Amino acid sequence: MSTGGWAGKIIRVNLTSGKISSEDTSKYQDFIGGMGIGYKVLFDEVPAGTKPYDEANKIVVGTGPLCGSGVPMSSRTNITSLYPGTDMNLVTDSHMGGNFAAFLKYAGWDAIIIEGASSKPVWLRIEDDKVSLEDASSVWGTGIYNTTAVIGSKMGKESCVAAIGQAGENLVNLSVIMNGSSHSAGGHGAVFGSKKLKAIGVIGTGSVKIGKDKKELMDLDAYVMKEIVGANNQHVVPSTPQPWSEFVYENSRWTAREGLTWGASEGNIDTGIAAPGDVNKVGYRTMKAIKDLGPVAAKYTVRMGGCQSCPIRCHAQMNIPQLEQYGVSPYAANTCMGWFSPAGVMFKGTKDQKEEGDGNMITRALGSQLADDYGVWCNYGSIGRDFAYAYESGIIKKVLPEEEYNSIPWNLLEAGDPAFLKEFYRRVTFKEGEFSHLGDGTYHIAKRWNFGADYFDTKKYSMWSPLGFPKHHASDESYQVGAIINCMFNRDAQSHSHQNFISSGLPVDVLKKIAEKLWGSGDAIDPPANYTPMNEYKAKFAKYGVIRNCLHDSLTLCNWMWPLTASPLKERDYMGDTSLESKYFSVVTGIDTTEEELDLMGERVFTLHRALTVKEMGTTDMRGKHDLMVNWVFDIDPDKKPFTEGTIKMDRDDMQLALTMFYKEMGWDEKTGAPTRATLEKLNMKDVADELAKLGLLPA
Amino acid sequence: MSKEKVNDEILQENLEFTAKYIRENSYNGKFIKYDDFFTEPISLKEEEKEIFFEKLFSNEEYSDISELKGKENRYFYSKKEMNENYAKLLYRIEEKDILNMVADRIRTDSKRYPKTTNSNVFLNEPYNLKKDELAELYKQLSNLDDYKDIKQSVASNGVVCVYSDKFLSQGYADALTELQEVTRIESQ
Repeated sequence: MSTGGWAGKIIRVNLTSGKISSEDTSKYQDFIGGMGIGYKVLFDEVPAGTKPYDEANKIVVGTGPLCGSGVPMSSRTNITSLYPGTDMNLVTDSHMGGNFAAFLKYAGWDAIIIEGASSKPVWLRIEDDKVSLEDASSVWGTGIYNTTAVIGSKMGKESCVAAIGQAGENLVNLSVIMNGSSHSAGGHGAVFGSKKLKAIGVIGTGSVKIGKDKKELMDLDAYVMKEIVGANNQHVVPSTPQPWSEFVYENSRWTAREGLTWGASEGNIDTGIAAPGDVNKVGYRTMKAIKDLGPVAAKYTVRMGGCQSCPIRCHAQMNIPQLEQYGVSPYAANTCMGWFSPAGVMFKGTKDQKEEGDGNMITRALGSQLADDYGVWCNYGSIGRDFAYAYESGIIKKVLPEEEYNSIPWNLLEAGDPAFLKEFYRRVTFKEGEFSHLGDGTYHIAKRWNFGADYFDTKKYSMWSPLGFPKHHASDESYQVGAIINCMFNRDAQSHSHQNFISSGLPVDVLKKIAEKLWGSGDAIDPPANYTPMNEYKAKFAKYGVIRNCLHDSLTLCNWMWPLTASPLKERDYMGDTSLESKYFSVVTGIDTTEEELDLMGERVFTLHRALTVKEMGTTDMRGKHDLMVNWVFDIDPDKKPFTEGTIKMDRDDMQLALTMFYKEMGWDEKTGAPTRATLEKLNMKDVADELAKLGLLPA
Repeated sequence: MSKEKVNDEILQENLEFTAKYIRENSYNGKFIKYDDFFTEPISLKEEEKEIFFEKLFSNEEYSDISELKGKENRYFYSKKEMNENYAKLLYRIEEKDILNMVADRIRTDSKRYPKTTNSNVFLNEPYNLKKDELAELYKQLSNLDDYKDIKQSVASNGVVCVYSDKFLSQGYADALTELQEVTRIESQ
């Protein structure tokens, strides 16, 4: 192995036999880490046809060489396994921030490969090179908060605990693994549960070696902090007019301004004018509580928190005394969907209690507490939309037994009383009755309750794929680029590379100038809701988006921030620095790697994902069987034509051309979208090509 | 040292101090007004003002210091520390030119981005209009010839945005409003 970055060792734990062994990470170095290790393990070791809760399924909890090294925004843990949320048993990833990744590296490990299944509840204890399975019977049946507290008290305050709640234990498909009480990875909690693995606790006293001169790393950090980094989602324009900025964009996450305070902090800290270049104020830029919970939330905000190594601080940490009336702690922390999805469950709206907007805030905070403690996942908001559709269409009244239906306090939902959430999350978590099947995932519930085609074909319900997962920065926001990216994975895409740039707050003409430098032409960018037909530059942009996403989930870096495509500095013409990943990789690992070389490694990881999907689906026909889009994408705005001003409507033929152009960029078969032998071998995956050939799964 | 030389040095010190003071205030989003020169901390003397301003605007070291002339006031700021768009906005606020303050933002958003403007942005910093003031202002805009291009667009969730039909058609504005106020918020 190289001289820096990687710890060099991977834990393999067999829960059936209890055997714990150590492996050399170098076997996976071509795949970097995180997601790359996960896909390689699943391709090599999990037979096609395995189901998520089968003993033969494996789950890989991975970090990368940059975790714990001092690179900004680098403490993401990537979790790879089969996904129970659709019926296809395909590989997916979930990710969590917090401290876990860095702490695992400090303990001297790059990843944990978990296989088999325990006959009784256990938790995995990692203290540097001492790794053991411990009895989890005292915490089995309890929530994530209690589990974290109990294991944390056993291991000490320098530990980090990643746990599942009762939802994962009860094999609720939509469940999470969470560390640090608010950093959750959605979709694989029940895989842990099926293996009776309650938690992983880690404490590390080591450090991450830097391959080159540490000063080079510090210089890169200084450069990033001064010139490149923006606010959350790499937004580079403020949300209110600021003296330092040429532009203003009210939806930006750069919310800092005079008079906007962390209102529940000691000293009522004012976020102030957090201008670029003022490195000590980067952490004030994103006062996200007001974006996620409404303006009223400012006075309940203790501080903005977040992950190890991240200056952005996007987790609002709240003290909301009103939560205590519902029997939960007043202290709640979360970001983005963690706050939004309970509001989706309370689709009838919320009633204010004492002041304007507090109903919405209390609802979101209560829902966040409940979901996070039980360990319920929202399927990127779909759980609320599934519920709303079933309720409003009358389906739920038809499918629930009368006694069960009458036992549910619908009056609370109708009145906008967040106490309804206690019923909702409890029933889902403990699989109480027919109602609880809302925790199965959209594909399953739509089939079970016989949802109409309108559920998938109406944009309001945000479905993307007929395979059963929702959109995530798709054609509605980013034309063919978003559409392609949303077709590529086996769950919602979780890819922010393209959208962060488009939504950075810069006007279209500025975006086009940057796009020209990066992808050959400003035609890679369409103005919002005024799209144009597909072209090769959009294909390059889409490839950049996907490859960088996979790179980040392997290195690991936070894809909510990276890549740093734009900059807040006018004197840079707002141009970010897309070579930073490779610069950091070179300094930390000690292996000189150009931007193109690192991108090729990302390409390898993503192509392996594709090969694995082909293998798991048993078909090369990715175009016809996998890269599918629901009808609203093409049928929305029936009075308008595609590629006219004022519509996000796409054209079916044009989208097929878009896929073809993307397949070509990736070196996949242009007819089917399956990886070819030539490309697999070019990417040093002859073994993968041979395996697919054996199964008759290479394109002709 | 001669009296002249001492005076020159004092003038130079005052210029440097003043430039630094203007720049700091510009960084914090504030103009220095003409009258401010004659009070603490600058404390310019009346008899020195001619030479002072002549030096301030001719010396290369202070080339970032700019002036905007209002109806009754003069506003000084640093172009290096305060962007010209912000300076223009601040000028409108100081001059109480509220109609143009609002129209400028709406038209720039519509033309440059393109996007519509959430109608409530003017309740926030640095506009700080009250709800009833803003409501009255929108009424005024719709009745004045010079601002007849300012129109409304409503998202499916009821959020109201405004735009200029000099740059956006109603249909396009509606699509942009829906994207900004509904779609982009669905995806977190």
